[in-house]
Amino acid sequence: MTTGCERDASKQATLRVALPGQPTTFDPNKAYDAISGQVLTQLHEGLTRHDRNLTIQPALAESWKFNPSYTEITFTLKPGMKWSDGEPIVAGDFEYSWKRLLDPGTRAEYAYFLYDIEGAEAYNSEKGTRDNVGVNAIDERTLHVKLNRPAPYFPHIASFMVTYPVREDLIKQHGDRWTDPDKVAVSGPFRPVEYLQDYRMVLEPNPHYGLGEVRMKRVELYQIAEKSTALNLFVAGRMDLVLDMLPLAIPQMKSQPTYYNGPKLEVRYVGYRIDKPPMDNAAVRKALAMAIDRDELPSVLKGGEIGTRTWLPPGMFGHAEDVGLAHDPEKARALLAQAGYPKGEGFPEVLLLYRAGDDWRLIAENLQQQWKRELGITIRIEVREQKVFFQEIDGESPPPMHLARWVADFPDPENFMGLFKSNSGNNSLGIKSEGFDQRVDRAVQTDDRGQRKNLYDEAQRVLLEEEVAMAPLYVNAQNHLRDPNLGGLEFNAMGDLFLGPVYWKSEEASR
Amino acid sequence: MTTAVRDTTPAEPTLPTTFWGRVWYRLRRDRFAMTGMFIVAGAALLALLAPLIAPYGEGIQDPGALLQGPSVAHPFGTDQLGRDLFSRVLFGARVSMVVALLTSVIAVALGTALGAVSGWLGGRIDNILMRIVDVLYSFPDLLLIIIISVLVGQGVFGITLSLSLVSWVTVARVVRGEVLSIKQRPFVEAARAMGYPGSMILVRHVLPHTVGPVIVTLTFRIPAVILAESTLSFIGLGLQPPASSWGVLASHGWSAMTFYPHLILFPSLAIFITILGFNLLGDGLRDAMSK
Amino acid sequence: MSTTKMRRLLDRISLAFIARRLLWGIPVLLAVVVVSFTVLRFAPGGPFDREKPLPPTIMKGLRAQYKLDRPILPVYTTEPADTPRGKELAAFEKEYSVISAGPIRITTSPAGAADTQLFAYLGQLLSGDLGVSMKYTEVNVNDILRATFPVSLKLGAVAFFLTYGIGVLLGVIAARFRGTWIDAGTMVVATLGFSMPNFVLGAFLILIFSLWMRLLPPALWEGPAYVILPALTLALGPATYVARLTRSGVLDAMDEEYIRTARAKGLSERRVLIKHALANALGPLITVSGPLLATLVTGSFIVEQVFAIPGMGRYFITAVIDRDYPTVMGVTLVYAALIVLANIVVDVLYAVADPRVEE
Repeated sequence: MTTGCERDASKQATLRVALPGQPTTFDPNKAYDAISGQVLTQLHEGLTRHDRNLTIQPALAESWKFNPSYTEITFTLKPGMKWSDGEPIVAGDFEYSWKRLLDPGTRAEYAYFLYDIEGAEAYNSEKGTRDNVGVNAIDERTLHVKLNRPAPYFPHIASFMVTYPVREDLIKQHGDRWTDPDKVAVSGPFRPVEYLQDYRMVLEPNPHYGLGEVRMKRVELYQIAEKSTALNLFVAGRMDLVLDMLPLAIPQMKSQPTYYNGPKLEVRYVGYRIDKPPMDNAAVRKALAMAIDRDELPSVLKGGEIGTRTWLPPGMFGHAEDVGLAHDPEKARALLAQAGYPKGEGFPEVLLLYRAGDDWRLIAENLQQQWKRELGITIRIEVREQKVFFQEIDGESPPPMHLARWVADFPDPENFMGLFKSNSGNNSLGIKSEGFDQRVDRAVQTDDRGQRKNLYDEAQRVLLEEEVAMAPLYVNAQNHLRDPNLGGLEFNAMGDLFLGPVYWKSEEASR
Repeated sequence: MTTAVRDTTPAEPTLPTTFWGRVWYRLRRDRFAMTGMFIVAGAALLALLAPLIAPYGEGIQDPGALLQGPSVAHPFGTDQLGRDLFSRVLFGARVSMVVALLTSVIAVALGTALGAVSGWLGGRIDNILMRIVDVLYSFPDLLLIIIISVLVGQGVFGITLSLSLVSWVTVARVVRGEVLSIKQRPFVEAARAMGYPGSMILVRHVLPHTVGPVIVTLTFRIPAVILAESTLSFIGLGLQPPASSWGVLASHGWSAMTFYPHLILFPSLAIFITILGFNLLGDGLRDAMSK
Repeated sequence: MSTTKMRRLLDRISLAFIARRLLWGIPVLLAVVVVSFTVLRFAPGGPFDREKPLPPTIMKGLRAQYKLDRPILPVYTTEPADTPRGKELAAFEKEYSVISAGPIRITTSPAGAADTQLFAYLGQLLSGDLGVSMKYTEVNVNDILRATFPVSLKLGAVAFFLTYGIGVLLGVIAARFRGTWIDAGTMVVATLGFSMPNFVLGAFLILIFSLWMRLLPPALWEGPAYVILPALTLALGPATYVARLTRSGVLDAMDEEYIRTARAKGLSERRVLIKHALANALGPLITVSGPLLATLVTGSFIVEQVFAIPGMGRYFITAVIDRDYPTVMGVTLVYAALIVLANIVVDVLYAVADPRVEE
């Protein structure tokens, strides 16, 4: 295994990172995938950012202030912040960026992220105008945002990659090519100097970065889709950090100092289509949920996943251990009998759809076996290519059951709960519950954490115990490999990657 | 040595009179070919009797025995879901053999027929057929495979269908080349001069000469199909549960080969031995027929 | 081969012949483009079907930007995968004339054929533009191919020479010692290369040469040393095929009259083998060489994936899975053009090698 000592002096300040795939864009407004995010967080800064405990911290903003009803927020930028080309970073850069994100012509997937802003949804859906969007740069350092409903979680939103500032002049000048290394101006710790599509991006420190010292002189971000390839490169000493390592290698690497395991705000679940027989029978949905032993999946997947029966994951505000249907095979059998299928007799071969991928297949095969064992029923499992899967899930005849996940965009229950509101564009379960919607909406209007938690508990009970629209399975985990000599490398449950503060410990010692 | 046997053949008094009789006679004396035949027959037998031999039922998971190495209870170890790998390899044999044989036979039959007709008739028909082949040849297989997998599912039927549709073209080219070359030989011209009808010359005189290359092609199609099928699994477009072939098992095991070598070793061995068997048998058949 | 003979052969391969074959290539390419374009568009799942469904207005905008909201073909008989549904369909049908008879639907757009996706694409192709990727929405497919094709070409060329080097050598050895254990042993070794899926073979080579012996890098594309393992992985399978073709060609020749004559004349066995018998095996070897080169250059998906090589082969799979239509069409076009070229070269070589074949 490589150590800092083997490294020759010229490479002392180089960091080689294996990303688990290809970023699709380097335009913050247009980004939607996690890997683009892992690159963009090195290149840009938002108003705020999350620390390792997911507490919101100032980044380019110095401070922010809500009005008493949480319907307006004013950000004040830090003084003297500069783009990598030396231009000052001003509030107008944010205003432009956010309006560009909402511009229907930008066609940003995450435009809905700013729908809490007044006039945003209207503009984005071509029903309103740009000028009516409630974002205004009052002066160079003040950004005023008008919200259309109370959104106490808004500082979290201002940390997300799509809200990073962008430069109007460069976009006007270069069009789509403004993100090329020779054209782009960035606000983050590194600037790109070289990019080879689907292979590697090389970064060097941004000379005008004002939010802390950048220690690495060169960062190489390799895009390696095959997990075992990344592992081989690491073992051969050709990578210093491997994100999202090969799950099958975890049991062997577990005891090594190179292994990192941490929580991740990602919940995987079985989504029921509650309007499709036999899933339209709540007793059936309950029986299936209660028959699942949540501890089996983590033992199969081996990545430090945590079995869960609740929707809000641990580590997030609002998490409650005792919410949701507990593992109870006896009761499950009784419920199934009550639904008209004693010992599983006469139960149709219900389809469980999953997408291509080893982890999804393992889940599907394990669940199939568990249900067979506990309830005596045979579930048909079928795979679809990603694109076909997504199309079918939201298509005209969705499958009665499918495997899905939700990865937090920001660490607030609103992000998880909002998913299953009747009007949510991401609601693939067909659940329409007024009781649920009301509680989730009321929860954001209050400042009282106790009351908010109660509302979320109730909403979760509606979702998981009354409507039983889905059965949560497990909370995912992060598994990375890194050179133990790397200092300043911290991960939070959002999976944010900040390479700015990272340094070589041996370099430290030699000083 | 077989060479020695063959050299003395003309002196053998009891040489069978029929073509296939002679082939079998020579085959019996070729120990490589017989080894190949035993391997192929053995693999076929194991596949047929899988439910009787397998110590565990198909797809039975034991949550208490995940990823175990080989032991008395599990001679090949267990996989990630606690399934007995020995049983999975046995059941996998059925799927692998069925897919490989069916696909190869369809591809070879289709390819030989069209290749022979095209090469023999020549002229405009040849030109048209070959342009169609050109288009198909230049067409990315994966598109076709995805469409078929979507239409009929990623089961044995779908995989067989798509793999045969993409592999007959190669056979057609080989056969056409052979026919073109044989067509120019003196004995064909002689037969023509004697006024035999073209179809008869093709079937009686030309096609038998292509049997060698076709057999070689066939023995290569089978391994190629086994490989293509596992490559599809690797990409995620292969057979899907509950069907699982050797290729599926190998593709599931490959990434962790340094950690759980048994996952890749046993399915790969099964593939290797079987392919070797087909190759030895194919070589023997070719030798036996060519003389 | 004497010079007069050579000249006579070269006369046979007239420029007109080559030109005619090249012209034939155009309709072939056109057919490939039309068929794959159509098949691709009718496949379920679209480029913008994402885990988090895009809002209707965004989807509409993207479809308009990439012209996906137009009919695919001037006339088509089944419903395309991306025909609008529900309310959108009603609007669509008002704008375009749709004649339905049972499962058969014939759609014509108001502006005529030029307004369809296929013809829009063909027009774009004529101007040399392959379009913007639907996955990397700021990247032109021309740029992707310009960057990745040379990599695949280099890898494929090295693999091609390895294939023939290893294959012919093994084939000749096996034929020379026909029927002995050397023959069998050579064939078993050769089979080893052929009887393992590429990904397993690659993994074994990495294990042995990178992780145990530490001789070669396990992946990436930084210099000559990085070419060896992936090229070997690519070459070993086809090398077996070449070995078998060589062996059977040589063996066939050994039994022919002229070889016996040559032997009778007292030529050494090695001379007979190389000069006469190997020449006999040349035909089939040439036949497979063209497609093989094309396949090695473009069909290296698995190898490029396992070795993290920035080549074009990977896009064959990833772009299809992502339904990145322009990229799929781009790589398909390059692939088809290569095959067409390779076939022409093969035909020419074939005519040289086997004078019995008339062009």
